[in-house]
Amino acid sequence: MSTATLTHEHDHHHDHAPTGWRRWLFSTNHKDIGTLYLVFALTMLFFGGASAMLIRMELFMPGIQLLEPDLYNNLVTNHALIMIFGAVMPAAAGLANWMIPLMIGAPDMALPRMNNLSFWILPAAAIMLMLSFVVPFFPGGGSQINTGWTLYPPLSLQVGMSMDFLIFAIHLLGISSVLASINIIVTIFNMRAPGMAMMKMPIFVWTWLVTAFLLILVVPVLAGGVTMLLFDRHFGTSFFNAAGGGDPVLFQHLFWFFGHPEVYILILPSMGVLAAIVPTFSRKPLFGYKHLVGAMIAIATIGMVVWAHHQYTIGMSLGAVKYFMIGTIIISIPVGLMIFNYIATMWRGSMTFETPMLFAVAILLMFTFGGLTGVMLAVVPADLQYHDSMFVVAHFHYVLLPGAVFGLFAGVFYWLPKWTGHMYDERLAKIFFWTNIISFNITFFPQHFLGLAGMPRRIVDYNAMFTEFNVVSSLGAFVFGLSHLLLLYIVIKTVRGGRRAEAKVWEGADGLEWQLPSPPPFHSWTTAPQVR
Amino acid sequence: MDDSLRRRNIRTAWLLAGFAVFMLVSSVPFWRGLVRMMSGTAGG
Repeated sequence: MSTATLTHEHDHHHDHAPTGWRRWLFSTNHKDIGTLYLVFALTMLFFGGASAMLIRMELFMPGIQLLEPDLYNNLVTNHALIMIFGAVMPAAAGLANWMIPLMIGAPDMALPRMNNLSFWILPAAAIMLMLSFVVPFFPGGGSQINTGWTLYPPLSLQVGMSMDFLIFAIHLLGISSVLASINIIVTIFNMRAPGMAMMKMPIFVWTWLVTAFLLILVVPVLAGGVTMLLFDRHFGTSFFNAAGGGDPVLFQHLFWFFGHPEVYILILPSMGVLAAIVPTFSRKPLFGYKHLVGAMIAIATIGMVVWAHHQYTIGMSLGAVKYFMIGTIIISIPVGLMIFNYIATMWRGSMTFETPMLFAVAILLMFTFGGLTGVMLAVVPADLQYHDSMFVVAHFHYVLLPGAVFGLFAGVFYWLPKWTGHMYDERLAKIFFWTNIISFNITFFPQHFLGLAGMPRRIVDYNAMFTEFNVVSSLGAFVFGLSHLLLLYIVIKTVRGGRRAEAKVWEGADGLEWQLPSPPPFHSWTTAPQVR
Repeated sequence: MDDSLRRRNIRTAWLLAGFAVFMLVSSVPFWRGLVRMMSGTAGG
């Protein structure tokens, strides 16, 4: 994509990295903050995973085994919020912090102190999020948050004080996301190396530019929505309270105006990771660079204006329903274009299947499957049948796990040798890949059938006729959950040592980041590279 | 980082922050109107 004349002197003698806890607490270094984001995300992945394990334990058999209905729904709420805001978004931000400056030849992020603030807001938000779960267990703590992550009123108006903790956590998470997005946009606009034109930037950088704009557009709307919710709860307003003349459906619009683009916010960075991995292991340049950029912008633009396909059942006017249905189906065109570009990049390439590439191929297959069930759900008469069933759960896990989480795993395996200076254990990584992928499918594939047979979601108990598929799904989920311990082991093992990684870790890799040694010096690109 | 680049970075950041605040404060009346329109009660 871009070639550079390396005028950068890698003088390790002047590589003064601070030591001890101050290095992390006061860090303004993009690599350290990237590492903090990634460690935080991995930690939250295990919290979110633990709640998923409890959910699947409960659903292992019909009847109520472990969890009271409200606690079950609180776990559903927490699982979603932790995974989305605590695991996936910070992990993607970690990749952005680590890689964007290296890829565009910048010495650091544009606003390093704000970068520090963006990260350190996150642990505070995570504590608030955890408190929202814990508070109801104490005397006077009120009821559990049984609304699901959508927080729909009137139910969310009736929940106890834990909802206030959650609203505050969402505000903090939103502030962190918006600050990080501003930083990323400013870095990309102002800090590129000479010669690094916008249309020469790696696709990963493009995906983050689009994602950051999406975040700035939609997160404030969610912040407005939950603030109005807070006012309805405590200050006597009636934005959403029908008893006072308010409209609960207004909250749904505010929420999904954020919620639907959020799906693309989660997916796009991972698609950017694929745009780095697929050409590397196909040993071919990326097919259709310009079209890929166009497709991403189209996805973001159309994705902003189709939110109400999550609300077909609320009784919208026929014109509105038709508009949202057609718009939603149209999105499959740029998404399909993106998938075809990756397949065309592989076509007649000299492909090898190291772990990042295995993930890339698996993502293309499974994400496409999730997209197909998405088209089914976009069709109004069909959606009225599938709505709020386990089919929807299966659909969005097929979209978000391959489309976002597995893309991040692929990125971690792809760049881990660059970050640590050590090669990861390929054999263990492949064992992780196969265990992860197979158990994922065992977990979520049966849920399609459960949904089509009529099993509703967000309900603790189910009819005995759904038992068999639920047993299979739960067994798959236990293996899927445990497989992540292997990921943790591989990462720790690689950080602690292993075969030395060269500057250009992968034979087919291209880009500025591979011209720096592995690991890159603490201060990289102190002299900007000249991109031709 | 030289001074002019630092100033340019801060200027761009404030511009984007202003945009985010605009999205926040404009959301309430906009969405109320849109919901009314979509539920077929515009002007009612």
